Amino acid sequence: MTTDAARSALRDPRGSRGVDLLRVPLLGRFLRLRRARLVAQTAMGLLALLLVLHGLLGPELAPKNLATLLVWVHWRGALVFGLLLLGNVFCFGCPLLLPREIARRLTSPVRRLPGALRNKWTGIALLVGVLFTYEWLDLWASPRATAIAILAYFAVALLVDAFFAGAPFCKWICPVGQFNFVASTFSPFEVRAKDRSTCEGCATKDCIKGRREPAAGGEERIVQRGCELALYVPSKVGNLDCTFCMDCVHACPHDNVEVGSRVPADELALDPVRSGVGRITKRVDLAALVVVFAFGALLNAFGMVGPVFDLQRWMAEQLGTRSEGVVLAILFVAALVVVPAIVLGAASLAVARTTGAAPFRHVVRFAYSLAPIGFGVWLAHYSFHFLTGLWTFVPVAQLAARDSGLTFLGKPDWGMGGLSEAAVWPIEIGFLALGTLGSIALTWRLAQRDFADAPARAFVPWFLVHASILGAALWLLAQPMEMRGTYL
Amino acid sequence: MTTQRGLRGASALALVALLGLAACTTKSTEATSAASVAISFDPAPHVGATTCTVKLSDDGGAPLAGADVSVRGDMNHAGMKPVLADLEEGEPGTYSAPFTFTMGGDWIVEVDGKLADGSPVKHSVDVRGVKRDESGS
Repeated sequence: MTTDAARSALRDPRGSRGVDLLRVPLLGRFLRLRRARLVAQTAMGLLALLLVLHGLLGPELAPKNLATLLVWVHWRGALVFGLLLLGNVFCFGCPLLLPREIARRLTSPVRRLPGALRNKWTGIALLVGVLFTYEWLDLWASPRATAIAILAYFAVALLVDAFFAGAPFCKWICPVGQFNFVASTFSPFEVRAKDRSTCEGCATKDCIKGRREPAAGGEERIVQRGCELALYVPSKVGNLDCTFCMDCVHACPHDNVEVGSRVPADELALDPVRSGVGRITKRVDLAALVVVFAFGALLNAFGMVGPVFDLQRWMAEQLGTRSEGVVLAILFVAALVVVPAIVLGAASLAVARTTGAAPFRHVVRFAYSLAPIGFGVWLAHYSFHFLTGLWTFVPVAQLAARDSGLTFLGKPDWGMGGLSEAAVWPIEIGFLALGTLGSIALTWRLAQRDFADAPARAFVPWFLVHASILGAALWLLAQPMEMRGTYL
Repeated sequence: MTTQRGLRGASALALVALLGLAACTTKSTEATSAASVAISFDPAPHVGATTCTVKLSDDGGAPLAGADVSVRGDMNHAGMKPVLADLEEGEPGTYSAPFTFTMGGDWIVEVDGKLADGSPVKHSVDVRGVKRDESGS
């Protein structure tokens, strides 16, 4: 097969452009299976069970325990690489929904999540809560706390979805999901209609309503559900709120849904009315999520370098406290509220002065430009841990097997590590550069959209914002790593 | 409707019980030896090479010679390759080997071995706040 022929085989003739993952050999065939998600969720569920058991019953030392190692090193790394290379693959295989799926065979909630909670504020609060708890309780150093956190996560997911219809946990509550939604705006693939004219002629709208069949008593039963996150494929734009569940792919009677390639982050330069999302320029909660995503990336990396421990110790002395929680809380408020307010406020006021734009409205419109650079910082940070500890799971798995009386994996080979810090450094810089370029390009698009006559007036202040974030990230990554759980 | 409420209540109770069980689970502690174990590093722990010395003595303070001793250093964060060293006996009851702290941060150093009579030696010590030398060594 020639290269052109191979390329064309990956594209549906009705497809809008690019590659369709559903037509990629093996992967596409797997994704088209009705039970594909269940298979992935079951595999992840079994892994989660193993992590909980090892976290509770295995070695207390974090580097010897699968719970701490696989969650905080490998899962986080795989998560961001999956988002970078494909899309929201973790949500696709999310095991948290397995108990929910079982429960829904027994009961079907009809109540909707209260209107006041149908926004991203709860998800933002929980995302901040997760980041705070991670630092405060040193989750990365405690297998037991990690196991309990996994169980608690399952419990909350089950309880929310047991009481409320649809997928409110995924759409509004899940902090990892909110992270994934923002990060996946930078992904190279999205679920979308192949041919919108086919959708215009569709009378059943199975992609959102689900496919139904007649049942006993003259009623109908859903044999394939539609999108539980209220994303109607013809007016769905980009990856926001999309869990890659493939329900719409299976439900569409016209085989008119693809997982198509696209320009990463391009969706953030557009502002149509998106199904299930609305106009993103009117979503203050969504813009705030992007701000927390970007500044949270710096904050999460912040806690691993020596100068920050010195700062924390100095703060504790000044405050006369021995409480790490108090010091951390101050740092979190500073990093996620005060600093963004100052930096983004200064940029928007500068734009307002030269263009007459309303500052707050302008911030909401341009905050989305932070998503790529934020993702670049997350990638740089998590890739460090993932790549330097790439093979460490082998001896830990060998140890876990041996401790369980299974010898077939052999004696733990503790010499297995990963790439050297020196080898990972250029990769980290590459991710930062990628994110920064994405943010700069996106900012230019937004400036052209909102200030067509003089885009530079809006571009320059926001370019400086991105340059500042890049500078802060470079400084953080250039510091010698100090992995610490204590500083007081 | 009653069935649904019952199921939800049961699932909530089951989850609370599961979390409670997790919180109450006790960990088995590693066996420790009757020998007294003292670990020291020269120079003091910093990022770079040191010599790790382990002194073993009995209840009366007499050195325990002829033991087979190794140490293992881990960072408290998962994902880092451990530092392993087999110690050699110099003076009776004193065992040492080169040991390199590969990164700044909090370390846990574990001593593992067997005394001459075959009884096990297990001991661990937290080495907190290992820093990079200003000299860059």
